Amino acid sequence: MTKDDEPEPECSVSCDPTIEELYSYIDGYLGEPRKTEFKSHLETCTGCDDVYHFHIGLRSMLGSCREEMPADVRRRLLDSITKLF
Amino acid sequence: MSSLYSTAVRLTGNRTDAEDLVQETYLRAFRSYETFQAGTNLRAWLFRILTNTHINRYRAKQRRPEETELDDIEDLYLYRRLRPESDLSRSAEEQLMESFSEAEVVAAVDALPESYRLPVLLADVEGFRYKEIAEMLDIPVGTVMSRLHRGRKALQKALYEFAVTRGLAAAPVSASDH
Repeated sequence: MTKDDEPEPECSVSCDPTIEELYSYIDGYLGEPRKTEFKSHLETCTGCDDVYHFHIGLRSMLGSCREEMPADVRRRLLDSITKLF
Repeated sequence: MSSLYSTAVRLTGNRTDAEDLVQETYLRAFRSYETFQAGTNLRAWLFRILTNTHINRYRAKQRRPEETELDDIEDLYLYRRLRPESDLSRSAEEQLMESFSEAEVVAAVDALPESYRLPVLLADVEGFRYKEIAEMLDIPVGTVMSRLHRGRKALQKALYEFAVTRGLAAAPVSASDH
């Protein structure tokens, strides 16, 4: 089945994904056949695709929560680990 | 070691306690090395020790998350408030990166109740699978999913508040204005 019968690529309210389903897809847990349906829907629906990219962006933004380990902390931790052996 | 430290800073809220927590994690790992099953994920095992050590230390300080308050947060909370009024020629990712500073993202994560902060850190920052997180925190996979779901929504709410402060989004209409 193709999406040829869709009147326009605009997103209607009825195709709004729930956030659980969206994150299941992002996290790689959405099972078939829903995963394939979801993927092809994102390809044709600019509204849902934008929602998808927004949440991908949110997730990658969380990467900035990483705390760099200062050199002195690393040295002290390595020293204490070495002493265990 | 650096991702254990990074998670420890987010859990304890300061570098001194984080260093101490990582040190204790390695000590405990060394003492209980016989419980590590060869062939399983060493990184997940170390994170399990880290989170357990932290939870045991700080259990007394833990507060119950305000679950009803978080339940009220709708799906696509931040998207609906931030994205529709903006210039759609900019990609959603670009808009997010330009809208929030690293310090604001960190503050939003730090403000999460601990039972939500842990799954969010482990899944979205460290990239662990739901099943690994369930084993680390000793909770069912379904609980990991619901905490992750609520945690992500709470995070969106906190980020929205920063956006309002910066004038990037309209302030919410209070109930009394209706």
